[in-house]
Amino acid sequence: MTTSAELRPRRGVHTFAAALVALTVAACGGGGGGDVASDGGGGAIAPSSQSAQRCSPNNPYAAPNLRSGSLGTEKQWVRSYLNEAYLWYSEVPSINANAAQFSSEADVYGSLDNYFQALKVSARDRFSFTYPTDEWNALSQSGVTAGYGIELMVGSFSPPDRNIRIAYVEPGSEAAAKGLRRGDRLYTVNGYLADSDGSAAGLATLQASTFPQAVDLGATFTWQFTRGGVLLPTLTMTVANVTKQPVLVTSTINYNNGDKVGYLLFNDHIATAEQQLINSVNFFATEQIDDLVLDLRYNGGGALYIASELAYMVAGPARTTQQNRVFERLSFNAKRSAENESFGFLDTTLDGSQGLPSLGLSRVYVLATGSTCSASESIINSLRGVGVDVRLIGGTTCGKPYGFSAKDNCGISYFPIEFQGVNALGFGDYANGFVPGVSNVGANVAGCSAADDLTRPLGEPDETMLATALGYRLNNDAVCPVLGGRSGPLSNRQAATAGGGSMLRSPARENRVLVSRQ
Amino acid sequence: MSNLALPLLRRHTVLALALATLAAGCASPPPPPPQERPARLGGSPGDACLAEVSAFAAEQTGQKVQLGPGAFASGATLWLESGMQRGANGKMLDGRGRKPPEVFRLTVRGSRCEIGHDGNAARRQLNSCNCSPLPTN
Repeated sequence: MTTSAELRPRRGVHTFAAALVALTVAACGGGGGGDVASDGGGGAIAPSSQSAQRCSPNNPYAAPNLRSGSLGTEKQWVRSYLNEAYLWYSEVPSINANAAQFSSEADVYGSLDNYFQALKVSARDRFSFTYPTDEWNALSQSGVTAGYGIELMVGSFSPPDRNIRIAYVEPGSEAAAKGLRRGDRLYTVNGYLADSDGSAAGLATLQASTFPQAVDLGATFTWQFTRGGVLLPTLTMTVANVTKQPVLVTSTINYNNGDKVGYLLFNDHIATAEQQLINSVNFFATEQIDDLVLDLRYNGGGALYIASELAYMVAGPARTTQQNRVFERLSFNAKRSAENESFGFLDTTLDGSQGLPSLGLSRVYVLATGSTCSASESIINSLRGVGVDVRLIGGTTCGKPYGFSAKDNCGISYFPIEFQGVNALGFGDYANGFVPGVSNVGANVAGCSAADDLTRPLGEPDETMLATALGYRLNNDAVCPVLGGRSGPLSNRQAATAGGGSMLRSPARENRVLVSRQ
Repeated sequence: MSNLALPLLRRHTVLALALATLAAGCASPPPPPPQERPARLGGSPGDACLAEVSAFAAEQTGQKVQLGPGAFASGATLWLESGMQRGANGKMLDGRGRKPPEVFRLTVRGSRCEIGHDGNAARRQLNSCNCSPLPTN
C-alpha cells in the first residue's frame, strides 16, 4: 500500500524541528515585553523582565549569584509572566500575594507553587504546573523509568475500595518474569491492605511502593496480588530501571470473508516509538488491512512529533502532506498572536533519514479512556481535521487541547497553559474531552461506550473495548453491540463516565498518588 | 658472448625488474582502514562504560543524564528525552512535548569504539566499552 511517492518528504522534518526550536526560543526569550496591566487589586503589573532572576536567598533552586532578590520579587515575576504568557491572562483572579500560604521563607518553592496555582483560572485550567528546572531538563534514556514493569490503575483514590489493578505488564520486566498479569489486583504491600488501609504509615508505603521514582532504585517491597479472587504467592519486588515498550501489540483480526482489521496498542509518545510504529504500519501494509483499531486507552501523550508521524501513517499523504494540511495549529493569547504557528504532518522520521509508510485509511477506530490525553487527543483531532472518519470507542478522553513552554525563573520552571492546539478545520474545543456516542459534532465523536476489560488480555478480540469496536464495525458503524451487558449504545453524555479508572504513574514532585488533585 | 647477448641480457633484466617492481607494488599498499560501522554495546556494559557514555551525553547537552542498563544494548542509537514527567494523576504533565530528543550514535572502527552526538557532531572514543558491529542487512 506504500508507494515511493508516498514516502517522498513533502514537508521537511527540519522545518518542523526548526519551527519547534524557534518556538522554544521565542517562548524562552519572550516575557519582557508585556503591557503594564492591573493585577486585579488596583496595582499595575510590570513587565516580567523587571523582576526576572531576582531570587530569594532562601530559594534552594536558584543559582547562588542570583539570590539578591526576595520571595516577593519572585512572586512579582510569577504574576507578571502570567500576564504576558498565559492563555487566559485577562481572567487571572485577584489574589493577595502576601497571604501566608504564599509567603513561607522556609518553603520558597511551596509558596511560589501555591501562588501560581491560586492564580490559575480554575474553571478552565486543570493543567498548569511548576517544576524544578534542573529536574525538568534532566535527560532520561527514552522509555526508561524506575519501577517493576507494571502500569497500575486505581478505581478510587480513597479507602475502603481503592481497587488498584495492573493495566499491563512490560515484557522483559521483573513483573513479567514473576508472572504478574493484566487485571491482577493489589492486595497488600508490606502487609498493608491496598484497598482499605487508612493509616499514615500504610498510605506512605502504598505511595512509595506503587509509584517509585529514580531515587528509589534498589528499594524492595513485599507484594501480594489476587487473581480472580485467589491470593497469589507473595512477591518481593525491587525497584529497577525498566525500559518501556511503547508499541505493545501489533496484530490483525482476520474474518472469514477475507476482511482484516489491524490492532495497534500504542502506550507512549516517546522517541523509541518511532521505529516501532513504522514497523507496525509496514506490517499492516503488508497484511493489507481493511481497517485499523488504534488503542490509545493508556496513552497520556508525550512527544508531539510522534503523534504527527502516526497520524500521517494512518491517513496517508493524499489527505495530509499532498494538500499541505495542518496537523496542529498552536493558537496563543491575543498578545502573542504573532507566535501562532502551524505544524504539518510529518512524512519522514524526525531525523529525515527515512520516509514514513502509510495506510491511507479513511476511517479509524480509536479506543480511549480518561487516560487518553494530550498528544493522543491530537491524533484524534488532527485526523478528524483532514476528513478521516474517527470512531471513538470506550470513554471520554482527558480533554487537554493545550500546551506549554518551560519558562525558568530562579531555578523553577513555570508552565502556564500558553496555547490551544487546533486542527486543520480550526477545531480545538475539547477541553472536556472527546466523548463517544451518537453525535459526531464538535467534541462528540460517533462511537460506543465501553469499559476497560481487565479480565482479558489487550488485543484479544473478546476484550470489551476491542470487541465493541469490532462489533460496531460489523454493524456498519450504526449500532453499538451489546456484549453480555458489558457495553452498549449510550448517549455521549452517558459515555463520559465509561472507560474505566484512572491510570496512575509516578507523581511529579511528591507522592500524592492516592490523593487526587483533579 | 655475442654482441646480441648484452641487449638480450638487458631485456631480461628489465623484464625481471619490472616484474619485481610490479610484485612489490601489489604487496606494498597498506591495508585499507577498517570501515566504520554502527555498533552496539556487547554483553553487559559495565558501570564504567555506562558512566563514560553518560558523562559524554551530559557534557554535550549540559543536562543531567539518566541511562538504563539497556543503553545501546540492541541498537546503535540512543535517544535521551526530557520533560516526560508525569503528575500525581498519572498523566503527562506536558503531554504535547515539542522538544526533539537528543540523539547519540555508537560506531566501531576496528577495535575503536566511538560515540557521537547528532546535535553538534561531537565524537569521543569510549575506552571502557566493548562495542560489537551491528550485523549488516
